[in-house]
Amino acid sequence: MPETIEFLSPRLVGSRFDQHSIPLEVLKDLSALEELIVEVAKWHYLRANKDRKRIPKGFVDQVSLKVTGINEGSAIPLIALTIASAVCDTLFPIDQREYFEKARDSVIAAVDAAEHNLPVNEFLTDSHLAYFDRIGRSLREGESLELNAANRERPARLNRFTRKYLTLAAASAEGYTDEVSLRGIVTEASVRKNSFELQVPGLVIRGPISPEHMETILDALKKGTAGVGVSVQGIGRFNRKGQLSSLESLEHVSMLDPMDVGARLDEFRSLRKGWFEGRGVAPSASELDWLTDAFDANYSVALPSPYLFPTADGGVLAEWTAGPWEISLDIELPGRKAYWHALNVQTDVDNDRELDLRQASDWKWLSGELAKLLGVDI
Amino acid sequence: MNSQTLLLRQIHPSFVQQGRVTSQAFRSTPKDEMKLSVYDGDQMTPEEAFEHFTSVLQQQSVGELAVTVSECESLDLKVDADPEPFPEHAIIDFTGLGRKDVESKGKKLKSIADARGWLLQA
Repeated sequence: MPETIEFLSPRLVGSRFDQHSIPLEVLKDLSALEELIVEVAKWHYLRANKDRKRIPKGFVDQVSLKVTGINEGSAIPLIALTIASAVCDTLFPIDQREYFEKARDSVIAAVDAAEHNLPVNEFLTDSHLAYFDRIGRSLREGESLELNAANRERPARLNRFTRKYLTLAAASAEGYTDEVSLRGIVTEASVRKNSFELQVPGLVIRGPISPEHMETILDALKKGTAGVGVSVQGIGRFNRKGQLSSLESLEHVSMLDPMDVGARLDEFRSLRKGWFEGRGVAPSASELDWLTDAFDANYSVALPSPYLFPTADGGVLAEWTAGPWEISLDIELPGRKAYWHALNVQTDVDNDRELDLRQASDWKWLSGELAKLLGVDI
Repeated sequence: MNSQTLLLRQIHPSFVQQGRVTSQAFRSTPKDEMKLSVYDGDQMTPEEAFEHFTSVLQQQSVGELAVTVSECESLDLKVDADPEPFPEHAIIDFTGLGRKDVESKGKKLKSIADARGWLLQA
């Protein structure tokens, strides 16, 4: 009978893990964690057995880590170490359990050290640290994987910060990878080289084309000359300074609406101080991120996308035309306030209102007014 | 300058999306002391004004739209020569108006300019 030992119960923290469920993409992280633990277990074995030149047969093959259940508490995958009976019954049994537990403890100690800005190289080698390029890559802002969840004071949190810290702790690491979501224009594509170039604000990046995305990329290349962009999700490679240098892989590619709000707001990221007659204020990247997310979250898809323009004082002006009505929403970005104004150019009837774009109720009012003037059901 | 004089307004590249020009191209702001800068079309052709704006003043423009002095006056907007920055400079004066009136008059001016069409496109 194979021997099964309770091994690790990490806690996934974040709203995606509520109701003790784990998104499939996060399982890739756990799979990479298994690969790391196996490598560290082998390392511990060789360190403890200096007379051995190699790992004994069956040390790895007959051992596996399995998720045996998911406990409540955000989400806690129960990971068991299973050792095949063939290994247990051998003439010269090895206690893999000892080395795998040491490996687990080394990984936890390294993550804990990273969380506290301490050196990690005493726990793991450079080649081990390279695994953190994949472990935890699917974790989003505000999410974490607590490897030592039982210790409430030092739960060894793997999150976006500690993952980057661990990856870059390897002296040989030239950078790290991370999930990216980009909007840009395809400026070049090569079927022969299976690669393409994407122009995003401030830089041009190269990436591979997988067969399932070839048709969309070639279509995007044709339409890119007319300014039609694409939305790309995948894995990006960043240098040690955190600058995106290339795309490693593509997961999703889709053509953008020529009036796509996010793509248009991205264009404003290249504005510099003084852009308008020497006195234009450049909107900040974080405020543009906020506005993009705010439109995604609050603006009805049934409504036409607004025309968007930067304002000289660093804000954004949204405009719509509905028959005789000329409508504008002057958005003050740092304050997240807006000034609504609608004018019927035929009758001179107009109305205005101050809005607080932090309030969902004000977004609802905006959608309602637009729907009424545009004759759209939302 | 007379009632039919064209007042040439330079349009910044970021003020155009998919062929639409923003109404803010025709409204003043507190930063410009509520006075909208234009070229006196009696003193400069659209080509000369564009050349002056982009080469001498080294500012960005994708072209020019225009309204006349009488169109401004029909909206109770005063037009004055303002030769201090350069001789052909004029202003459309929004001084004393509240925000709602500035928005309405800016939108109406832009609507009039739109109907006239581009005088020059780079």
